[in-house]
Amino acid sequence: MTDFKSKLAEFKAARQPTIKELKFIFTRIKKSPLSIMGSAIIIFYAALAILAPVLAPPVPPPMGKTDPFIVWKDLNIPPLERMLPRPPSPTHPFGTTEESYDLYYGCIWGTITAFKVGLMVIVLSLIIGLVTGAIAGYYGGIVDEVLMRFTDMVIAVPGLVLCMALVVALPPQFVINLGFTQLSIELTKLDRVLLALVLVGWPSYTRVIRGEILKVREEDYVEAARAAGCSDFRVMIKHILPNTIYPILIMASLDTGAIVLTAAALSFLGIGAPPGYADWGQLISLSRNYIYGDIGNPAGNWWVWLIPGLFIFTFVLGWNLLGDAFRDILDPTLRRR
Amino acid sequence: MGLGTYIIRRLLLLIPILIGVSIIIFAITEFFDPYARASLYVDPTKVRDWPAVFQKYGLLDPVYVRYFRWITEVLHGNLGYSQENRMFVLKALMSKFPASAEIAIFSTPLTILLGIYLGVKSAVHRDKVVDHITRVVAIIGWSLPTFWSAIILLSVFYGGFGLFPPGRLGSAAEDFISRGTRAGTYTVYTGLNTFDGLLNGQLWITWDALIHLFLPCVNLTIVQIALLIRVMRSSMLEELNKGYITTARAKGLAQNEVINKHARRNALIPTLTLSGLLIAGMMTGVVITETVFHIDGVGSAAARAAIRVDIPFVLGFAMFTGIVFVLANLIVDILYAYVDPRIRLG
Amino acid sequence: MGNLVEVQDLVLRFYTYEGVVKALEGINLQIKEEETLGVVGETGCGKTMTGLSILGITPPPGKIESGKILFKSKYGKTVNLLAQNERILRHIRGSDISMIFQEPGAALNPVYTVENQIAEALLHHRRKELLEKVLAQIEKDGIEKKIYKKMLENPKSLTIKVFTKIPIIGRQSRLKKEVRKEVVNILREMEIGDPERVANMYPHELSGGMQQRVVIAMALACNPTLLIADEPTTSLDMTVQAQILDLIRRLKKTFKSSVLYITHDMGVIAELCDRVAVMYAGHICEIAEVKELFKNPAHPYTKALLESIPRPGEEFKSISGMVPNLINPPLGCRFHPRCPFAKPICAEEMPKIKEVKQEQFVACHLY
Repeated sequence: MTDFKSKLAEFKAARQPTIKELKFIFTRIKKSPLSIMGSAIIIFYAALAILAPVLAPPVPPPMGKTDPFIVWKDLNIPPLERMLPRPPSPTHPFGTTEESYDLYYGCIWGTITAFKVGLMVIVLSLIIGLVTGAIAGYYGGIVDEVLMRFTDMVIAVPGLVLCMALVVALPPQFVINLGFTQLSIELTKLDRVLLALVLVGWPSYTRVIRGEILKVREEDYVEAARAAGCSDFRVMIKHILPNTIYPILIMASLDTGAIVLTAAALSFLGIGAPPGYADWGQLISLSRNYIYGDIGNPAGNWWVWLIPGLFIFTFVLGWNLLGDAFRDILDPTLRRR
Repeated sequence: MGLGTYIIRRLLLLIPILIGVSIIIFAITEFFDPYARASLYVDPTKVRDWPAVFQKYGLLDPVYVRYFRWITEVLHGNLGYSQENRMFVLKALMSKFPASAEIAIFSTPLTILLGIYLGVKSAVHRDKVVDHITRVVAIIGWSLPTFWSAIILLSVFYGGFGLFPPGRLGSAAEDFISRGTRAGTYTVYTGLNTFDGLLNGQLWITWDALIHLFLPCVNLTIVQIALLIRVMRSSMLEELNKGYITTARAKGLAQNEVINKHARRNALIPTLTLSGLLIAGMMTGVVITETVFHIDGVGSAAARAAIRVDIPFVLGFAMFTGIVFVLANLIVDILYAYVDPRIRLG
Repeated sequence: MGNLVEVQDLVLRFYTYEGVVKALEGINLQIKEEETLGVVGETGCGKTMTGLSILGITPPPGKIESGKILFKSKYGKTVNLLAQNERILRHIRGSDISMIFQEPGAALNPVYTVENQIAEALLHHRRKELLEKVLAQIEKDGIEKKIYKKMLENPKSLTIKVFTKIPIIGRQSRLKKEVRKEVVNILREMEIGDPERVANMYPHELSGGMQQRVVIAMALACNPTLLIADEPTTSLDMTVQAQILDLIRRLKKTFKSSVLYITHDMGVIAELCDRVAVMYAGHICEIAEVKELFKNPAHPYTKALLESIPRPGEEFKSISGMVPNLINPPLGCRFHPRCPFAKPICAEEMPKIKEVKQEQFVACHLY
C-alpha cells in the first residue's frame, strides 16, 4: 500500500509542471466569460442531440417515415392548406414549414445532423491532413513541393464554390471494380455533401500541420533528441506532435463552425440534404417563398426562417467562441501578464 | 532580389497554379458519363449524331488526351454550353459579371476600412470595453449564416420598413435603361449601374442602384469583417510589443502618433495578405447574397445551375472564381513586396 | 557641478498574475552634470527599470508607488518628473532626456528610412528653430513666407493642417531640405562615412554597429542633457563595441551631456564611467567613484562581483546562491542569503545608504 502511495506521489511530482500548466489554462478558461458561454452552448446542444429521441419522439408512418431523420408531415391538415406554413401552436411548438413539416422535430433532430456533419468532416480531414502534413513536413524535398502545390490548387478555388461543383458532380453510386467482384457504395445526398466538404477541407489541415512541423523541426530540442539517438518516428511522436496539438485544436473548433455553415448554405441552395431531411439549412430552404409577407403582415412567416436559423447561428457561435477562447489562452505571447 | 525579379518569379508561378486549377476542375468532370461531358463543348439539345460528336471531341479517348482537348477549347473561350441559361457559358458569365462586380466593388472598401479601424481600436484598448464589444460583434458576424443574415436584413428593412428593396434596380430605372438602350439615348458602358448612371448623366439611376446595393453590401461586410478585425488586432498587438514602439515613446511622441504612424503601418502588412482571402470570401458570399436579394449575377446563376445540374455552368463558375482568386493573390503578393521594404530591398 | 538628476526613494511595483513584483524598493541616486554614471548589476536587478522610470515609460502592469525624481531642465528649473502630466513629459522625452536601448535593430522601425526617423525627433522638438532658419532664407514676401510664418506662430491651426495635406502645394520642400541638412549633419557627427547615402537607407540594410549609431543619432538629435544608455553594446561584437564606446565618450564632451550607462559588464564601467552605482535585486548597494570602487569595494556584493571577473590563469569564481524572486524577496537586506559576512540584523532590517568615505556610499550593516 505504501509502495503504491509513494509511486503515486512520485508520478505527481514528475508531472507537476504539466499540472501547473493545466491549472493555468483552466483559470484562464474560467476567467473568460466568452469561453464559458461557448462551452455552455456546445454542452447544451450535445444534450439536445443525445436526448433527441426523448424530446421529439419519432412519428410512425404515415405521417413520418421509417428513417427518423426524415421530418414528419402533419397529414391531419386538409390537403389544400397543407402547402402553407403555420405559426407555432400546441401541436407544433415551432410551427410548420411549407408542406407542413414539423419545425420542432426538424430542429431537434437537426442537431444530430449538425454534429454528425461537423465532427465527421473534421475527423476525416484531420486524419488525411495529419498524414499528408507529416509526410510533407518531415521528409521535405520533392514530396513536400508536390503536396504543397496540390494543396495550393485546391485552396485556390473558394470553398463553397468548389463544394457546389463537387456535390453536383459526385455520382449517387460509386462502383469499384476489384476484378473478381464489384463493390458498389451508395452515396446519399448528405453523404455527397460530407465527401465534398472533406475533399475541400483537408488541404488546410495539411498546410497547418506541415507548417507546425517545419517550425518545430528546427528547434534545438529536436536536434538534441536526434543527437541522443531517437529514431525519426519517435522524434515525430514524442517531440513534434505534442507541440502541434494546440494550433490544431484551435483550428478544429473554428472549422467545425465553418463546416456547419457551408453545409447549411449548400442545403439552403438546394444541393445539400434532400427535402424533408432534418437539417437546419434544408428547413430554411423550404421557407424561401415565405420570407416576407404582404402589406398587412410585414413580418411574414417569421418562424420558418428565424427558428432554424437561430439554431444554426447559436451552434456555430458556440464553436467559434470556444475556438477563439482557445486561441487567446494558448497564445504564448499573450499570457502571463 | 529586387522587386522586378520578385514580380517575374510570381508571374511565372502563376502558370502552374492556373494549370493546377484547371486540372482540379477537369478531374471533377471525370465523374460524369460521356453524354454529360459532351455538354462541355456543344449544345446537347442540338446533337443529332452522337457518335460523330464523340469522335470529334474524342469523348471516349483516354484521360490525358481529353484533358488537352478540353484545355485547348477553354483557351479558345469555349467553356461549354449552359442548358439553364440557354447560351454558351462564357457569354453567360460575362453578361452576369457586372452585377456581381458591383457588389464586390462597394463591399470591399467598406469591409477593409471598417475592419482596420476596429482592429486597431480593439488592440489599443485591449481587454477594455471597446475590445470586448468589438470582438463579440465580430464573432457574431462570423457565426451568422450568410443567407440567414441576408434574410433578416431583408425582412427587417424591406419587409418591415419598406426600405432597400431587393434586386438591382427599381422598375422605373429598369424601364428607363431598357428603353434608353433600344432608343440609343442610354449607353451601357460598364454594366455597373452606379457608374453607368453617372456617365449617362442620370444621377437618379446611380442613387437607385446604391439603394439596392446597400443591404447586399452590408450583408457581405458583416460576415467578412470578423476575420479582418481578428487579424488586424493580433498583428497590432504583436507590433505594440516591439522595440521601436518604446523608442518612439522615448522620443516623446504622443500615443496617437505612436499607434497610427508606427504600429499601424507595420501591422497593416500581414493584413494586406489577408485581403486575398477576403476576395475568396467575397466570391463565396456573393453566391448566397445574390440568391437571397434576387440579383442576377454570376453567383445566383451558379446556384440555379447547381440545382438543375447544369454542369458546364457550375464548372465554368468554379474556373472563373479560381482564376480571379489566383490573380487577386498575385496582386496582393506584389503589393506586399512593395509595401515592406525588407522584402523589396532584400 | 550640481545635480542634474536626483532620484529619491523611488518605489516601483509590477502587479502580475503571479503576484506583486517589488522591482525597485527605495532607489536613491544622483547624476551630476556632465558626468557618466554607470549602473551595474545582474540581469533582473532593476537597472533598466530605473532608466525607464526617469523617462516615465515603465510598461504596464508597472506602477510607480512613491518617490521623487528631480530633474534640472534646460531652462534651469528643477521639476519632479513623477509629478508632471503626460504633455510636459513628452516635451522632455527626446529633448531633455533621451534613451537608447540594447537591440538597435529592434529599436528602429523597419518601414521608415533613417532620415524619416531622425527627422521625426527633430520636427517634434526643434521645429521652431528649423522654421526660423527657413524663414530667414526666404527673401520674397509671398504666400510661401506667409505659410511658414503661420506654421511658426500657430502650428495647430486648421489652415495649416489642411494646407499640408494638399498633394503638391503642401510639400513644405524648404522645411524638408532644412531637416535633411540637419539629419546629415548629425549622422556625420556620429562618424558615419557617407551620411547622405545612409540617410536614405532602411534599418535592415545597415549593420549592427551602424544601426546603433543611427539610434544614438536619433537620441542626440535634440541635444539632451541626459542620455540614458541601456546596454547599447551588449548585442554588438567586440570591435564595434569599442568604437561605440569611443563615440559616446566623444559625444558626451561635444554635447556637454550626462550619461547614465546601464550595463552588466564591469569592463565597460572601468573604461567609460566617472562614478558607478551597484544594484542588486531592486536596491542600490554601493555608489562610488570608479577608481575607488575597483580599489576598495565596500559592499560584499561589489567585492563578489569584482572577484568573479574571469582572470586568465586563475580559477573561475562565482557567487553562490541564486538571484531572489522579487515577488517574495528576502526580508531585510536582499543580499543576505548569499553574503559571506551576513549578521543576524541583516535578515531583519534593510540597511540604509550612508556615506562611509568622501563620495563613497554603501548600504550595508557592516558600516
